[in-house]
Formats: sequence, structure tokens, C-alpha cells
Amino acid sequence: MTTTRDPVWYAGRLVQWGLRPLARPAQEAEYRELVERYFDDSAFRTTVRELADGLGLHVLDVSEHGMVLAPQEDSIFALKPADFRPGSSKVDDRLLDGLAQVAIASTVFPRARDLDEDPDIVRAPVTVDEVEARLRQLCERLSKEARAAPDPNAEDERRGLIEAWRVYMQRLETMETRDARKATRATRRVIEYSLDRLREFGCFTLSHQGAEAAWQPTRRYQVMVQQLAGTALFQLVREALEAPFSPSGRDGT
Amino acid sequence: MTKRTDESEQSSFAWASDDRGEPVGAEPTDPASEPAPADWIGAGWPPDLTRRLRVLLHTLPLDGLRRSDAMRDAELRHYDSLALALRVLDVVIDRLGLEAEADREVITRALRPVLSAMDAAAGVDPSPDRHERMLDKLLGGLRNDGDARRPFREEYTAVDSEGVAQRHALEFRLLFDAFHPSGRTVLRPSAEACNVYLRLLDLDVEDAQAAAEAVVESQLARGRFDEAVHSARQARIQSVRFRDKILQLLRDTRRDVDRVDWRVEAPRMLNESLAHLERRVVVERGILGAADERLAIMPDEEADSRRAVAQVRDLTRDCLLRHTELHEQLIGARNVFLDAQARQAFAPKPSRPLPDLADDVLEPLLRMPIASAGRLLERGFPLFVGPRLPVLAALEGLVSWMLQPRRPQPRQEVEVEAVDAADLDAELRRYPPEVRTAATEILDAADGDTRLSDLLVKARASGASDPVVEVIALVALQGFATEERDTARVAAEPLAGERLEDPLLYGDDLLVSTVGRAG
Repeated sequence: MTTTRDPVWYAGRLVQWGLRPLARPAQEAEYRELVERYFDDSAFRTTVRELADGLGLHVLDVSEHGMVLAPQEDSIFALKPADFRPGSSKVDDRLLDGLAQVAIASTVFPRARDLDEDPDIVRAPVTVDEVEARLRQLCERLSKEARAAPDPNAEDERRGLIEAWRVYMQRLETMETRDARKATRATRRVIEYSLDRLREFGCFTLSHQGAEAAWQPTRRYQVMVQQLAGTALFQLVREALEAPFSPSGRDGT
Repeated sequence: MTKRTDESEQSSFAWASDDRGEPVGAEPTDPASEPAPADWIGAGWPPDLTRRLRVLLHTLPLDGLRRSDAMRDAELRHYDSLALALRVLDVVIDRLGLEAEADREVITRALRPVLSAMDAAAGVDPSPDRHERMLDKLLGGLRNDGDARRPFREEYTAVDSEGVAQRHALEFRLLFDAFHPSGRTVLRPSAEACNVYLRLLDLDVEDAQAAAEAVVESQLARGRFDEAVHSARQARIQSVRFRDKILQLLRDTRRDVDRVDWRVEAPRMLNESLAHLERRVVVERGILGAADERLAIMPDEEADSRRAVAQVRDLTRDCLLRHTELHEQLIGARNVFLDAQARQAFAPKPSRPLPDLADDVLEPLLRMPIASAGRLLERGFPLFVGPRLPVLAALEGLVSWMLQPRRPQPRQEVEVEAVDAADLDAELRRYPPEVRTAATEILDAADGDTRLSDLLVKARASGASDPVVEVIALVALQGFATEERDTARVAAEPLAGERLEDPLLYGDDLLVSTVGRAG
């Protein structure tokens, strides 16, 4: 860095590097210098955090692996489920995409204490089957529990009052009528699509375990789920459960 | 923190049941059997025994590996996995912090001679295939592949201060795959494995910074100064993280006292942090002393080493300074908590526990009506995929963007064309046989890992001609560029930041390995 600019400019550069999921300080001299500076210079650290905050970004981690950012709520950087699958506006699709994300994260981190581990430790890769089985087993259990209860009526369905697992099971069943083997294809496809998009975001890499495709979580993904996503969604769920009978228009804030 | 409350609750429960139990007891109270509690218990289970026991437990997975020797396939039974495991830890710890940190290939190269020696002792011909299979089992065992790479879990019994025997479980890792900044996956020892291996049993084995500093000490003592600089940098990063964690805790407390569990967690963290800092300061002073001593006896000609040691000293001094400052802040921090306690003496909320993602998040979501689940996921979803880049419409930019040549993608993996052994030979055949023989002799004389620059200096010193130097460099480059390492004569990998300067050649230095590559 030959010309000296205002620290805010450098902070902006660092945040910009953080927004490139595939860039690594080890390969980019400027990125590396900025990360060093972040460690060395506490005033610079504050500037970077304030700048990111102003942009609507959480700084989750800064290390020699780079900077990991996460969007704050309603940030311009937040990718909503509606934008995740371009060309589809169906509520069911959005719901399944969201559930798939949680199922993927829970397959990578099967136990609560896994979230507490050092994110440098490479977690075992996951396959589409593993994620699908996790989701399906849960849904089948809920379906068994609900067997005694009457089936939801059409009015409930219209108003979005049927449980989320039914959407998943419906997706399975519509395929089942044609071919048992293809039964899980629809849901498998949802999960595979999610993993594939996550790969574009630098959250997974694709490798192979024998003939089967295996998805290896990256450090970036591990940091995102461990530091924020897991506990934040948990918090939302807990808040929603504590106020279950609130009017349906309530957004929970 | 929960463990602590549990223990105190359990022990008070134990007392309570004792009190109730006595009158009901089958035998009438015999005054002789009535122990004088504190002394007797103290003598029965000294508190440091628990610590020693925990240290010992860390060696059990190694013992397990050794026991499995007898149960392996017949053709692998003659390998002693305990010896091999120690060699693996040795290699991995030695390379810690080095740019060329140990990956599978490094392990294979380092272990091959040991495996071959065991083959020879058993009268078996060495076979690379079999070596690979054994290494798979060995690394799998050290990583706990059998249990999905979770930490090892060892249960043990200890007697607490009230004389109650309790079962505990200790979880720890020995070796794990880790993300390397370069994008590769490397094998890294856990802090526990470092401490056990380096026999620093009297240190807190879970302490990452203690491990980092122990590595600095060991590398300084072994004269591996460049590596010591890397490790010292790691230690400094640990100290920055540690400091951030404490400062974050203090900030959170001031802003929103409910977010911090100051009943148990925060005071515990403060106490532990103070103790940690005091221990670190002692060790860091030790490293500074050792570095100064080194510098005093080091001849001026070893300018590079002097520079490295001086860097270690500066980095360590920075840690020391940071820790001394933090120590002052920590002492002041107690007041922050006392103030908070005074202000908020009513029913504090428990600290936020970590969720089980399947049971605590996924299942409740599935049970919810789709409208509610959808709303929650709408809010939680962006956190799982990370920031996306908003697209700003700018026609001018769009046009020039569409016209520009395709930008090279950031390097994810390097595509390497497989090189035919015949092609390698063809390149070499341009040189006369005597030149090739001379080069081969110099390469064969090199033992294990050598820098290419050292090889060339040695060759020059022995009066080698330019063509001979060229052939050595060419063979090394073939080793570097070849994916199918078996077709090349040597293996080579880049040494970041190291330069090679020879009258003939200039560029990045390579680490050349000739072990097991008999031409």
C-alpha cells in the first residue's frame, strides 16, 4: 500500500474482501495486510466493525482464513428464501428451502455441543441422503404422532394453519403414487439444490465419497452456523413458542 | 458452569441423604468407624490426583490403537501403531505453524521409512499400497473416524471434596483435519496432544495459548527459528482473541446485563482469566529470557536466524504487554459485575444455552403451522447462507462488464496434467549421460527433506557445472509439477516467502524430498 489513505478506506477494503466468499488472505497480499492490521490496530478494528454495522453486516470472525460476515436483519445483504430460488414464488417451496437449510446445519452439527467446537476443525462431509433421512425420520415421527388426530380441513390448509411437516410429507406422497423409488426424489432435489447454492456462496465444496457426492462444509459455513445462525434461529423459535397464540399477523419482534 | 452448579447441588444432596440415612442404617453407629471427615477424606483423595488422572486419560486412545494391532488384518499385524502414532504426532507438531504444515502426503513421506523398517524387522517386503492402508487405519484411529470424528470420550471416577465418588467424562481430540489458510486440509494436533507429546504435563492441557507458547519454546530450543516465528504469531493471535472475548463480555454486561450470566459464568470466566494471565506472563517472560540468551550467543553471521529470534522476542513482548494491560482491566472488571449485580439483583435470566439443531430448532419448526414456520425461516434463512451481493444497476458498468474478457476465477484447486514418466525422461535426455549421473549422485546424497537452494549450494561447492545444476533444478521442478508423484524422481513443494538465488536460477525456493524415491 504505497499511498496512505484514510483508515476508513482501508476498513472498506477489508469489508469488501470479506464479501468475496472465495478470496483468501493467503493468496491476496492486500487482504492479508488488512487482516494483520485488524489484529494489530485496535482503532482500525473499531472502524471496521462500525463500518460493517452501518452496512448491515455482523463481523463474525476475522482470522488468517479471512473475514466472515453475516447479514443483519433486513440488511440489503440478506438473501431471503424468495430470492434463493429464482422463478419460484410458491410458499411451499420457500418453506422447504428453509427447512432444508436447518436440516443441513443439523446434519453438520448433530449435537448441541458441536456448535461450541473450534471452527478450524474440519467437520465430516454430509451427503444428500443423510440430510434427507434426518428430515424424513423427523416428519415420519410427527406423522405417526398425529395419526389419532383428525386430518386438517381445507379451510385450515387455505389459511396456512396446517403443520409444516405435512408439506414435506405431501411432497413425498405426490411422487410415491408413480414410483416408489422416485418417492424421495422431490425432497432430495430440494436438498441438493440447497447444497449447490450454498456451494456458490462458499459454504460447501463438493467432493466424492466413492460414487456418492459428499458436501464438505467450509470453515466459513462452520463459523456462520456456530457463531450466529444456529443460536439466532433457536432464539426466534423459542420466542415464537412462548407466544404461540398471538395474532397471525405478528412478526415476533 | 452448569457442571459446577450440578456438583455443588449433588454434594449437598449427598450430605442431606447421609443425615437422613444414619438412623436408618442397619448397624448402630460405631464410634470407631466414624471418620474424622476432612482429614481422612483429604488423605484418601488428594485433589491433584484428579488432574493427574485426567492427564493420564489422554493417553488411552493411543493404548486403544496399540490393542487393536493384534486384531488387524494379518498383513498389517506386524506394525506397531503406538510407535507410528508417536511419529505422526512428532511430524505434525514439528510442522505446526509452518507454511508447509503436515498433510497426508507429508505424513506418508515421513512414515514410509518407519513402516519399511518394521517390514524389514518382520521379514516382509515393503509395499506402498500396504503402507497407505496402514496409514489410513492409523490416522483414522487418531482422528476417531470410528465415532464420526467426534472427540474421544473417556470416563473416570474421582472423589470430590465431600468424599463422594463421582463418574465424570472427559472429551478431547488428539489429531484432527483442519482448514489451512491456503485452502488445503492439513492434519493438526489438538492442544492436548501437543501438551502430552511435549510432556508439559504440569500445564493446563486444554489451554490453546499454553500449547502455542510451549511450541515456541520447543522450537526455540531446537533451533527452528523460522517456525518459532510462525508459532509466536499464532500465540499472539490467541492472545488477541482472548482479549476480544473478555472485552466483549464487559461490553455486553454494560449494554445488557441479561445477556451475561454473571451468577456463575462471568465470575468464573474472570477468575480463570486472571489465573490464565498470570501463568501466561510467567511463560512469556521465560520465552523472552530464552530469546535474549540465544541472541547473546548467536554469531553475527547467522543474520537470518538472529532476525527470526528477534521477531519471536518482539511478538512475545507484544503478547506480554497485551496480557499485562488486560490484567489491569480484569481487576477493574470486577467492579463492572458488582455494579451490575447491585442494579439487577432480581431473578437473573440463565445464559443462553446452545441448541440441539434437530430437536430444538428443526422439530419445533416442523410442528408449527406453515405460516408461522415460514415467517421464522424468512428471518433465519439469510444467516445460513451468508451475505449476498446486492446488484446495483449501472448501465455503463454493465456494458463494460459484458465486454471485458473473462476474469480468472479465484483458485480453488489447481488442475494438474498427469505427466508421463516417458516425458520426464525425454526432458532429461537432452543432457549428456555423465551430467545426468553427476546430478543423480548429488540428489541421492541428499537425505530426506532439503531446500532446493541448499542442494544447489552443495552442488556448486562440489564443483558441479551449470548443466548439472540445471538437471538438479529440472528434476525438482518435475517433482513439483507432477500430480502423479510416483512418476517423478523426487517430491517437491513450495516454501512460501523463501527465495532461491543462484547465478543460474532465481525464484521461489522448493522443499525437495528424496526419501523413498530411489531412481
